[in-house]
Amino acid sequence: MKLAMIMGSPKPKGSLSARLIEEMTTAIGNSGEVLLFNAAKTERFDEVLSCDRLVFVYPLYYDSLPSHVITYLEQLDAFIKAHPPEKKPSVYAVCNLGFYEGYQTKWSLGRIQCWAEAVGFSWKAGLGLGAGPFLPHLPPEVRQRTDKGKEQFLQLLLSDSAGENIYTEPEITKEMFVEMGNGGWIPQLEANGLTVDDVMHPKPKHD
Amino acid sequence: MMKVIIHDLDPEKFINAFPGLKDRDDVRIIAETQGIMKKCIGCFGCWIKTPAHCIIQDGYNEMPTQFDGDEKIIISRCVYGGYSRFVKNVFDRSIGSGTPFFEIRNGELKHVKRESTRKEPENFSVYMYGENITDREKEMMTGLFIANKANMGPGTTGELHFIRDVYKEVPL
Repeated sequence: MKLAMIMGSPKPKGSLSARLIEEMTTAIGNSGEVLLFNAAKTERFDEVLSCDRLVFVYPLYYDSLPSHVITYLEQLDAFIKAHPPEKKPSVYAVCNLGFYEGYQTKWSLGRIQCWAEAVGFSWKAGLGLGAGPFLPHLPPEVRQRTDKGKEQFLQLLLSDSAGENIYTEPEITKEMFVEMGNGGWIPQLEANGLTVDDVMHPKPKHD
Repeated sequence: MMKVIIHDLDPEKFINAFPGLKDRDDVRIIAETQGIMKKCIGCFGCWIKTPAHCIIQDGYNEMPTQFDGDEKIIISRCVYGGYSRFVKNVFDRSIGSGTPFFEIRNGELKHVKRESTRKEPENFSVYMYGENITDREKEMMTGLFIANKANMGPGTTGELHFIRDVYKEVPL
């Protein structure tokens, strides 16, 4: 079994998408061969299409796919139509977002499903991870639903099974999450010599 | 009343088709007129380094302020149940129009909006064009449209339309 992990974060390093790919690759271990691709580079399509399963892993940008992932999907679509592959890989997707509710990824996962249908591949399942960038900083006891969701998704992926999309959120209240998220910006603003007021009342251009 | 029109069509053909929009102080047209628009790199610079200004100096760095208007009209090819590459990139490069801070609105996490000088909530109209838009694409786009409206702020009004011919069906 060969899996293509297609990274959809534009960040060259340190993204949660990269971390999730690492985690899945470790969990897959000897069960399969994992090939890594980056959606920022529209190349190696023949290698992508040599795989049995495609896994798109990306962050939610403004309720949907990052724009460069759309470019990648369109170019891969055109390549598939010009060079019909011998086998048709199954398609999976993992989306993380900064908001609490994993279900807010639904419309982006649906776009990957629409793409799979457009190219004649089989859509299997999606995973939407709420509180994405915060997950590595949360204690295990509030990541139980998230970890369970990841496990369920991995089982579907390894068995080439289809399922309903899986959406997760941390076991803390939304109010606590808001407080934690907002507090996290303050040191970053201060490091840049800015205050909350600078964000709420930004200076005009050339000021 | 500022009307902001964001489209992915040929800029010259578009303005020739709608000459009444030319040189208007109350109309801002956002199209790919400055060369290929670079992708958002997720650096959050428009939130925490130069609030409301994108750090990518490619001619589209003022999207966070240009995105804002009293009426927003989106014209996009429907691509796998969502916006096309350019139109989506305008959204991505405009996140600095809001703030990084969270709040709970109608039970869901959203970003805190800045105070607005608008008297009325924004009107947001979307025209998705294409020949063979599937039922699933319509379902996904409808969900996205509702999510976009919720993110743009309480009370945002407007409708989503699926059309075939921009030049015959968009009332501009």
